Parts: sequence; C-alpha cells; structure tokens
Amino acid sequence: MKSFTITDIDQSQIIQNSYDICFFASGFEPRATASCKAYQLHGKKIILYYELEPETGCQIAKENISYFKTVSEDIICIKSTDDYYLSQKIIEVINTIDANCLKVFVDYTSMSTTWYSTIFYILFNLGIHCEIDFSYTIGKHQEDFPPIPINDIVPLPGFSAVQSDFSYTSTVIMGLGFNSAVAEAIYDHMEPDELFTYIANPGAFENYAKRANDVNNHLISTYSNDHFDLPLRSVENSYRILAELVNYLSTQNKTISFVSLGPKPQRLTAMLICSTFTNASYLKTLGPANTNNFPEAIGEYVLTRVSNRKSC
Amino acid sequence: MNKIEAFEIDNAKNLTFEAIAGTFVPIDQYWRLISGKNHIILGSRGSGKTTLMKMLSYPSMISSKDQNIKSKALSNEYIGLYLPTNTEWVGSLKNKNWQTNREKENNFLWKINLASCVSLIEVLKSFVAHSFVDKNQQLLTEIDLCRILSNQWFEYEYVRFKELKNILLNVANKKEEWFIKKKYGIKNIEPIGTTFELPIFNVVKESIRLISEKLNLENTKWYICLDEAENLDDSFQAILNTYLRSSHDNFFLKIATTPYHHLTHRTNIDENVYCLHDFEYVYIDVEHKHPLMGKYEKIADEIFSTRCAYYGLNTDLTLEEILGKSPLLDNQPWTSEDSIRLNTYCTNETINRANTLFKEKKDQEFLDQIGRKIRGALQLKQEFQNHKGHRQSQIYSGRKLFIRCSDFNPRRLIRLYNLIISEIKYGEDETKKIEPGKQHELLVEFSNRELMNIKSSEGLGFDLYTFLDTIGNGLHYLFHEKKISTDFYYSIKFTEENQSKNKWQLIKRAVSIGLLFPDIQTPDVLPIFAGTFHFSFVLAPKYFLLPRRGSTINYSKILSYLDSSPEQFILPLED
Repeated sequence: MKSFTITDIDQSQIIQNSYDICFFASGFEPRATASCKAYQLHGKKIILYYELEPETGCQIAKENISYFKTVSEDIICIKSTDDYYLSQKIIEVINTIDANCLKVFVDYTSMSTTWYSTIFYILFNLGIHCEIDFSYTIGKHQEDFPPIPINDIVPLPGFSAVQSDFSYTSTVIMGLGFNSAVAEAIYDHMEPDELFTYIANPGAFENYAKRANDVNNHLISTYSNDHFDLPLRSVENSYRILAELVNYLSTQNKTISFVSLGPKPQRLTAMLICSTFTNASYLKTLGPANTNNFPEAIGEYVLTRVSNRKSC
Repeated sequence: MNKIEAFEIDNAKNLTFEAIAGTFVPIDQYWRLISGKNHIILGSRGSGKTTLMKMLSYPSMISSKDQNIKSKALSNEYIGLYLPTNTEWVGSLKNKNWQTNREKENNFLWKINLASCVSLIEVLKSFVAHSFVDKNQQLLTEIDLCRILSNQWFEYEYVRFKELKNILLNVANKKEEWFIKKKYGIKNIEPIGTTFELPIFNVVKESIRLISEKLNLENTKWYICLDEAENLDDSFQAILNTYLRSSHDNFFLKIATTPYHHLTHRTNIDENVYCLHDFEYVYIDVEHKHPLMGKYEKIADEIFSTRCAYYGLNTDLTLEEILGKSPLLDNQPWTSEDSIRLNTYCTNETINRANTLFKEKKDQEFLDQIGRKIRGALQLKQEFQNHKGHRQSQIYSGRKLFIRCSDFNPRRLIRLYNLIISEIKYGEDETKKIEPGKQHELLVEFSNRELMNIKSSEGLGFDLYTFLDTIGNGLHYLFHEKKISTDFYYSIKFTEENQSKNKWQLIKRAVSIGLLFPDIQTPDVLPIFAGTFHFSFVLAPKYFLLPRRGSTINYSKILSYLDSSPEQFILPLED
C-alpha cells in the first residue's frame, strides 16, 4: 500500500505557494484557463498539454494556448496523446530542480485521466518528496448529455489490481454523472455481481443531486446494492468514505473495479484509492471526446493537496 | 437468500463453480463439447457461453447434481480448465499503447501462460478434495503437487495451493508494474516471470505432464476453456489459431466468442486454420423454430425451478401461476369476435379461404390452417388500434410471452425473472400473481431498454440503434397498416447486391448482442455478408409485434417503404 496524505486546501494556500512546475491543459473548454487566472500563476515553469494542433480546429483551444504562452516564458507544450514524452519531460525537468520537496500544481479540469494519473504516478514513484496541489474548476452543465458511444473499457496503467484478472467475483464501484446510457452500457458490459453507486452530493449546483439521481434512476433502483453520496468539494472526505468501503470489501477478499463517470474530483479520488489498495483497479472508458457540451465555470474550485511527506 | 437474490446473479461469470453446477440445465451442445477436439463456441451475449465454459471445467463437473455430468468427471477421461478473461484481463492487454505489436503479443502469451497455471491450481484443488477422502492424504498430495509445480515455475518451493496461487498473482502484479516503470524509464528492474515467456500453453502442458503420473492421469485428455475471445483482437486470435492448427495429442482448446467474432483464420505459421479440420464451430443460440418452442419453454420452466430450488425458495412457485396464460400465444377457442377481426384485418384471400372452410364445416382444418396462426395477430392489431398513443394495455402478458420475449437467451430470461420476482408482494395478503397490465408495462419497458442501451455500446452504438429501429418500424408498419394473412414479416433478407461493409458490421454487431439471429440452414454455419436474419422477440413489445417467426422481407424493401408514402407501397408477401 502506498503512503501519502490527502488534504483539502483553500485558495490562500495556492496563492501563497511557490510551485516548481505547473501542469495545465489547453483543451476545448473556456474553464481551462480559469485557475491560472484566479491564482495568477505567472512566471512559473509550465507544462502545457493540448488536444489539438494550434493551427487547426477549435477557437477556444487556440485562445487557451495563446493565453498560457503569455503567462510564462518557460513553457513546454506537449500533445495530449504523448504521455511517454510527458514522462520524459517531467523527469528531465525534475532533474534540473534542486529542492527538498518538489511542489507541483496540476489543473486537471480539462485534462485527460491518463495525463494527471501519469503525473501522479511518476512523481510518486521517483523516490523524491513531492507535494501535488490538484485544482478543479467547478462548472455547471446546461443540458443533458446525449449517449456517447464507448469504444472500450481498460484499466488505467499503474492503477490496476492484477487480482481482478483472476477473480471469479466482481465488485464494481461506479460514480455516476449525467450520462445514464454510458453507465448502463458499462454495467451491461461488465456484469458485476455487486454494484455500488455514488453521486456528487452536495454537487456543483443546487439541484445537481436530484438531476443525477433522476437520470440514473433505473440503474440505481434495479442493480445497485448500495447508493450513496460523496461531497464534490472535498476529495479528502470522499477518499475517507471510499477507503472505508474498500477496506470492508477487502475483508471479504473481494477485488474491486472503479468506474468513475461523475465529476473529475471523484475520478481523482477513485484514482487515489486504486493507488492505495492493491485489490482495486481504476477502469477508464475510451471513446470520442466531448467537444460540445462544456460547463460554465461558476467561480468555485476543488483544491486538494496530495503529499508523500508530512510537510514540504 | 431471498427471492430477489436468487435471480439477481444473471451472469454466470460471477457464479461460483458450485452455484453454476447447482443451477445448470444441460443443452444438447454441451455433450458435444466434452471431447478431444478443438471447438469454437459461438453464442450471442447472454446465450450461456460462460455457463458452458465453466461447466466444462473440472470443479463444476465434479460438483454437479446431474449424475451423467458427475460421472464424466469421475472417469477422469477429460479434465477442463477454465480461464476467465474479464474486462480487466483483456483491458490490460489493450492499455499499453506504447508497445510494439511484437511486445503486445509477447505480453498476451505471458499472461495466458500464467493464467492457465492459476486455473490449473483451481482444478487440482478440486481434484484433490474429491479424489481423496482422507484429509491427511489430501494434505500430503497437495504438498507434493505444489512442490512439483513451484520447482517448475519458481526458484523456491511452496507447499500449499493458496500460497502458490498468491505467488503467481504477485508475479503478475510485479509484471504490470515492470511494464509501466519500463515505459517511463523510472528505474531498472530485473525481468519478471521469465518462466512464462514460452510458446502458448507450453508451461501448463509441462506442468500437467509432471503431475499426471502422481495422480494417475496419464491417459487423461485436457482442455482449456477460454471465454470471451471476442474481446481479443485478431493478432491474439491468430496466436490461438496457431495452436488450433498444430497437432496436440491430449491438450485441446474450447474458445467461446460471439458470432462473427472469430475474426480471422490466419495463424502465425504459413497456413490458415480450417473449420472441421482443425476445429469445429458450435453455435448455441436457440433457433426460433416452432417445433422447438415447446422444448425451450420446458427448459425455461426448469431454469426457474432449478434456481428456486438451489436458493431455497418455494419450488411450488411456477411461472404459470405467477403470469397466467398469454392472450397472444396460448390457444383459445375461436369466438365470434375473432371472426369480426378476421374480416376487418385480413387480406381478401385469407377471408375467402376462411369462409370456404366454414361453409364446408371443416372446423378443425380452419383452426389448423388459419385460426391458431392468426388469432393472436388479430388481437394485437385491434389492441394497437384501441390503444394508440396510450399504451395502457394488457396484451403483452402471460408465461409463454415472457419466455418467448427472452429469445431463450438465459441471461435475458433471468433478467425477466428478476422483474417478475421483484413484483411479487409479500406480507399478509401475499399474492403470487402479477396483473396482466403490470406484466405488459414491465415487458414494454424491458423491450425499450434493450434497444436504448445499445446507443452507448462499444463502437457502433448510434448507428446500430438507428439500423434496428428502422427494421422495427418497418415491420411495425407492415403488420399494422396493411391487411395480413396467416404469415407476416419477422425476418429480413440482406442480399449481396444491396449489401455494404458498414451494414454488414451492423448486422454482425446486432447478432453478437442477440437482437438479430442468423437463419441457419446448415448446422453451425452462419451466413456471411448476406443472408436472412430474424428480428429478436425481445423487441416485439417495443414495436407492438407478435413474437413469432414469420416471412422474410428484403431490407431494401423496408427502406423503400420508409422513403415513399405508405399508400404507394405495394406489399408482396413472398420475396
């Protein structure tokens, strides 16, 4: 079991901090730049991941890239598909930094799971002390999600439990969002004999929980063994609740698969759980990116500090 | 365990070997598979492939209450190992996009070699437990076997099955870590588990050779049951094909996959693998043939009773009691109302034929040729007319209809049983019957959901939904907006002239998930690229169709009807 601490932090701790590296995603969303603007992370070393070639496609992505280039001269741009190059760059950059404890900022609002999991995995396996501040800009979705076809479901490299491969029973813990068709399709594909489901509550906005429960009512009422709430704004508390559940299931020698379809702080929580427990796997879905339905930032952030050292 | 739980586990993947053995109802194809041959089992999702695979494995066979199955296991003539290839196992082959094809294939070989050794441990555990009554003898045999195996697989000796299995899992874990760290160049790690870097199944075959003498199994034929091969891409299937092509005296493969997902006949040697020579296909989806319906209904009843018995429920509870008769499918006396409907909804030819038989007082012939065939259809047409837009009906109800709407797909059947059982109320005024109106509501919702859920299914979701919806709407129109005879359309023909690769992909996908069924003319031979396919019965309630095998219509005709106005559409019955 890996050892690290998870703490909810506030904006003042971000603003007062001095980061060695900052990671951003330019993505398709206006939200991608929100935290950088809010915390004025100017002059820092920035590693930027972008989805599209800047010369083509999405106007918002181009604007985001342009903005980040004004924030720092020390910026490295990496294509989203190139996580190997990312890992090499991280190692290269870290070797140039002389610090007792590496301080890292990651805005994962518009970032793929592969990216921020790679960042976490490498930094926590390099044998160095580090502290990662994860930032998520909360947004409000305007419309319901149309069903998005999924192409595949695979374990996230570095966050999978091999025991799952050989287990004759299957327990899935599924975080639900607004896309009930995807949740049902995944359930249908995996056919677990136990299903636990959760939603973000309190969520991003006032009637979030009701909306999520209504949309997923069939799955919850027909298949879920237990349905519970996790607070969106506290990864620390969410982690504690999920850890208790996983601990309990572990006493029954169960292997667990996490499928997280809800907001990203809950995906981060699930990823951290799978990094902690050797019998838990994080499964990610592969499919076309959502390039149309973007939430509007509401001016709130979920801020989480993950550290493998008591204090930096 | 309460009533709900008895039917909640609708997937054999998640049942223990004992539970499978306790609830298994053997089908004809099962006995074919217990043999010294390579087989590729084809069945749509939920058709019972995993149950079959598990029931071919020694732990399930030896636990079976069926004496024929148990005696097969006791004879030691054949011993099967079951390899579960779940989402995580297959996913860990696919989540290393940085690997070259060669590296991916080596990873597959490594994983399958290790997985087959884990399965061997499960079989040996069961074998020792059933072969030796004396506990001391069991323990001594276990120690001996573990010593033999651990000397072959590792540098150290382990003496208990559980310990040995944990070590294997640990090696698998470290191998995964090794891949990731090697990818990121984090630190140098020694190679892990080199023992398993051998050609496919060589490790487990050698293990079997070493333990066979100890257990007097020198003449035993072994087979590995590999499930869900549809999740393996064609390069991995080519590796399996290579094994099928090679000659193996006493070690065979049983591979389960969905129809059309044995993706290639290519091997990694210079020859292809050939059906009937190197392996046989065994198709297990139930064929929608009228003479077989009675037999399948009996099996469905048996599955219900077996499950009730295994989980300690009241075995007096029957589907007939709970659901009653089906107004659409159960035989009922011909009434004057039926005659009115006949005159209202049937073609002139059918009406004339009926009148002739009435005049000649050939009542029995009338019932055999027209009455029984058309009564349900007439009721359905009238019901739709009366309830258009409201859908508050009772027409989709009854035991026969529930069973028929499962397409005799075990998983679908058990999910329907789940709905039934959860509707039964308890308490002082416990009733065992579900009102027809409620049955109708459940079935229509179930039918809708079967189609809705595919929108997000892998790859073709939206297109597949549209394709099947087109067919359903076409059949609905042909049934409800036109006069009918004793035959009506429920099958679709795709011809080569009007076929496309995209459409063929959709057809294959629909077949794999059990929403279209290929018309089989030769046993175990599926149509390729063109042919006749039957619409699934589970979609009948959604489109207000009668779930009964009918005539065939060309797909192009359905499309042309949808494009042109209904008045201009001319409907020949035979195509």
